[in-house]
Amino acid sequence: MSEPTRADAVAAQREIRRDARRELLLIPKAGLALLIVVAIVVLRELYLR
Amino acid sequence: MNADWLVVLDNVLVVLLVAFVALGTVPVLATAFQFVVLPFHSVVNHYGRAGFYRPNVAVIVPAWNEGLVIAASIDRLLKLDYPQDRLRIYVVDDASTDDTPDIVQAKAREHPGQVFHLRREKGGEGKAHTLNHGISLVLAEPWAEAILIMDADVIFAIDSLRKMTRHLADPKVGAVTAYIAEGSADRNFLTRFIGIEYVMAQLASRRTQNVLGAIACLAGGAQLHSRENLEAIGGRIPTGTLAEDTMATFESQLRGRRMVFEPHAIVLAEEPRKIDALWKQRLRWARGNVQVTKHYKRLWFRPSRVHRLGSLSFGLIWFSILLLPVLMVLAAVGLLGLLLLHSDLAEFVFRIMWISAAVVFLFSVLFAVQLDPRTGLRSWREAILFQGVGSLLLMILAVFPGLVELFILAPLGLEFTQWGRFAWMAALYLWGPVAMVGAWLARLIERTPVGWLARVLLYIVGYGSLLCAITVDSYVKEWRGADASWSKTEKVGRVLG
Repeated sequence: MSEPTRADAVAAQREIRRDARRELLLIPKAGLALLIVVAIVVLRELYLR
Repeated sequence: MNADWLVVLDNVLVVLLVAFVALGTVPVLATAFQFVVLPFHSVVNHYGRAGFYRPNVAVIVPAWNEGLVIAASIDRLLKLDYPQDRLRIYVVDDASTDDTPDIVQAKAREHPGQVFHLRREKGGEGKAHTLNHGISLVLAEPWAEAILIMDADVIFAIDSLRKMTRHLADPKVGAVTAYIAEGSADRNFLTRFIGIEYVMAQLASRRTQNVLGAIACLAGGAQLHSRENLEAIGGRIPTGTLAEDTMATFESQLRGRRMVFEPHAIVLAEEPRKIDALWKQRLRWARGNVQVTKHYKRLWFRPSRVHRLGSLSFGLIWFSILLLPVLMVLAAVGLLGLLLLHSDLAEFVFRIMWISAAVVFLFSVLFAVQLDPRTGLRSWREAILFQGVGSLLLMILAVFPGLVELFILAPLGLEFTQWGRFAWMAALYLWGPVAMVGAWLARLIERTPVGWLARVLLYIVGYGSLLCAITVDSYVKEWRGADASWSKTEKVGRVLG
């Protein structure tokens, strides 16, 4: 049975941290979606005037 | 006196009809809730408790006549970036009548001690029975520390298994599921719709469920259980319903174990290219969900310290999907009733409802396509038209009132008559149920020589309406107690290698 090396463990921890950081991108992605929605709402208000 | 009673009756009716419309808006609110919670996954996730963990994994592959796909699946599993001496593949051959046994036996000879062929002589009982045959044999030996349940046709990304096992480092986690992405090499309009659906239902919704602490379903094509978890639920996948995956997910959580969705573990799956094939697959899923809802009838909206399945938020998400067609019909009835009683109020309520729908739809689609940009780029048309051209027009008309009068009628020198306006509004209010009928028609048309019209019709009524129509069919089939024998979705090896 292969035993994991310290290098394997370090690489795995690095990968976990990288994926956790990728999750932080959810915030700007939500922000961008919200920005476009707000832009359309503003457009609507201008149209209704 | 009579006039007073009429006023009271009118008020009661108006309140009732507005309540119907409000109920019809619940799914919109549920979607909004999910997409508002979604960004919290950036901080409320399981990565803080994940760790380096490489357990012995027994992969169980149920196979019935999978000759076209099984060799590629085994080869891809053997190429996973995972210690090969910690990986064993058990193909449970469910009395296949094609060359599946020969292919698997050849692979077993090629990889002795790593690939195993388990044969069931009596097949056709369904996936859960097939899986249980393999699970019982695997659990009879102490070797396996984790069990990966998958479908024969799916292709795991090379790093997917190790990204799943890291969550099992936390002993509170009972099972982990991956992102099943639509991965056909020969995509068509339907597989592109499915691709977008999976982004919404998995990359968005299951992340939200991670945050809420209750997972609705571990994907049948990729669920990694700890040995302890499988043993705790009786060492077998529950077989009482058509939704064996959901039952296993619920049973695990009821015993206090946490389920984790890992969005960065990607598994490609082949999905139906025909509406009829999709209908049969989803009808099985939808009937399974109806059965699960009835089976756990004492669970809903009853918070527990052991699990989160009884929470208000999870119940809202679950029932807003299960009851979506009913709520749509209620909303249409409410609007039509208001149109007959107070057309101005009907128009006001209609606009509120569809403006909410437009805002939530726009936000959710714009957010979702960023979660899997490749699928988003490939299927942007299907993302925009997910609810159909009809619903899109309703949203535009609600957000920008008077467009029809201004840009269509006025240039032609026309204007609405009283009855013309009534008919137009009635048509708009009834669009939800009409679209479901349209989706049902699309399935029928697909079988005719003008089958291409089915595609046009589906873009008009929307993929969402198709799913609603299938849900209605599931109510009817369950109510009639129709035959619930398990039918397999045909897979022919179209997944990108």
